[in-house]
Amino acid sequence: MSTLSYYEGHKFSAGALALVVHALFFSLLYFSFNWHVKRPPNMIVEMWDSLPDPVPIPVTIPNPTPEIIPAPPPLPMPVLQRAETVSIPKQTEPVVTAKADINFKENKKKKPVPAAKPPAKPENIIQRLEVEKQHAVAAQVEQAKKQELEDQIAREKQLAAEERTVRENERAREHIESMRAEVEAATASEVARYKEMIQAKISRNIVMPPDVPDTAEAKFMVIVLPGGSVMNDGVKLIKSSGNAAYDSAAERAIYKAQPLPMPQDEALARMFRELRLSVKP
Amino acid sequence: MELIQDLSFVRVIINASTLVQLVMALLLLVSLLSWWYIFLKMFSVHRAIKQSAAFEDAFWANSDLNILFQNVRKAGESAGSMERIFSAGLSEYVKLKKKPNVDSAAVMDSTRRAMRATYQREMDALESHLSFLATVGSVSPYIGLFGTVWGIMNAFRGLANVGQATLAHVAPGIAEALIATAMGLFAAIPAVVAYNRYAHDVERLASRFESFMEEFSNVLQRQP
Repeated sequence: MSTLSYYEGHKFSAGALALVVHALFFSLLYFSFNWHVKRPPNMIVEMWDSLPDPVPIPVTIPNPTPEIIPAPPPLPMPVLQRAETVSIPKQTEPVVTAKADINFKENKKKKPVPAAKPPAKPENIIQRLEVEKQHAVAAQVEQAKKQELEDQIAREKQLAAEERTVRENERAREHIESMRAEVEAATASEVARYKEMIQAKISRNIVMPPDVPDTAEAKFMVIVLPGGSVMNDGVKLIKSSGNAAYDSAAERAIYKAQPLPMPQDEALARMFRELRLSVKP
Repeated sequence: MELIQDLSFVRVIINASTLVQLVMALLLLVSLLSWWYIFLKMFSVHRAIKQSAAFEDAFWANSDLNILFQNVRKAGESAGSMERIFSAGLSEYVKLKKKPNVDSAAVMDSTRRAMRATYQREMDALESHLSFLATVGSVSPYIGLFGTVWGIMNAFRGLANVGQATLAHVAPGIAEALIATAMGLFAAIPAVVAYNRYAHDVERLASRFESFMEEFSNVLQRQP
């Protein structure tokens, strides 16, 4: 005789019963327990119109634009003018001979050295003198041209420098802009954090009166003293919800939430001096 | 705030940490097994009690041992514990009686030994798996508690990362963790109750068997 005298039928029915018991237990857990958490009948505190326009953050980055930009413009103008005044009178004189000169020069240029080399030949000194004169004129013209070229180079350099400074300024401005954006983002997140904290603290303190419609909305203007306490009579009802009990409950909650969490940074704290709160169920 | 999420039952379990899920799975398995044994034992103990009562009635009502013996033989596998004790004792007695020169004290000793052996086997069968129920009853709350502690540890660790701690941050974690405790208790309470109940029933059956063995010995001793 086997020691275990369980019947097969018993085994099956016992197993089925065990399953039934578990199914019952879990259905009990599932149905009798309200797993879907309803939004608590607490109120939502919002900051509408949130805060007064953000105070410009006192970023102490020197703005180099006024320093650099005004300096370069006056420089190129006088240079240009000087170049013209210098070159024009020089050019007026040789204008008459210039045409012949150029022809001559071109002829001469082919062999200027042999012409200069044989000075012993007394063939025609006048011609030589002429040549020398023309040489001088050519040199003058050349010098003027060189001057002009130099001026142009200088002007170009000036322009490049100008452009460079402009570009640098641009870059600096961009850098500053990005830094400012970063700072602004940081302050914005900080502001949001404190806003959330203030809202949480007020909504924690609200004692909900009965029979408040879901659409009720009370708006308050709150004047906050440094340190987070609310000024006496500093809570002004701007827009009533239509339910006096609700309005006073919200007002009491605001007073009870003292001290309101305030940022340490004074510049930020200044933004929280005047809060506009909207309280909704 | 998105923290007020819906804590649907399934999502709570799915979102639980792996260890907590393992604990839950283990507890579910243990609970299923223990409930299976609870029902098995319920049926078998109930049946043993019923059969013992019926056999006792038949035994005292009809003093013809041969007819009783035939009935037990016919029942075969489905015979109750007391019937088996009876048949073991009677067959041993008859065998020894057929032998010459065996004194009656030796016959009775032998018969009693045979009955005791069968009694031990039957008791063993009746008590089987009771120790499992006892273990489940004592250990599964601790397993559930372990899962809960682990889940709460995780919940609080997650809380450290949040700047502004509210109850809403820890609540889902704790709810999830407490399911493990609920399951442990769900497995443990019925197991403890069943263990106590069946241990008591089996004890009563044992004393019934023992007194039957004594009475049956007396009956046999009175036989010519």
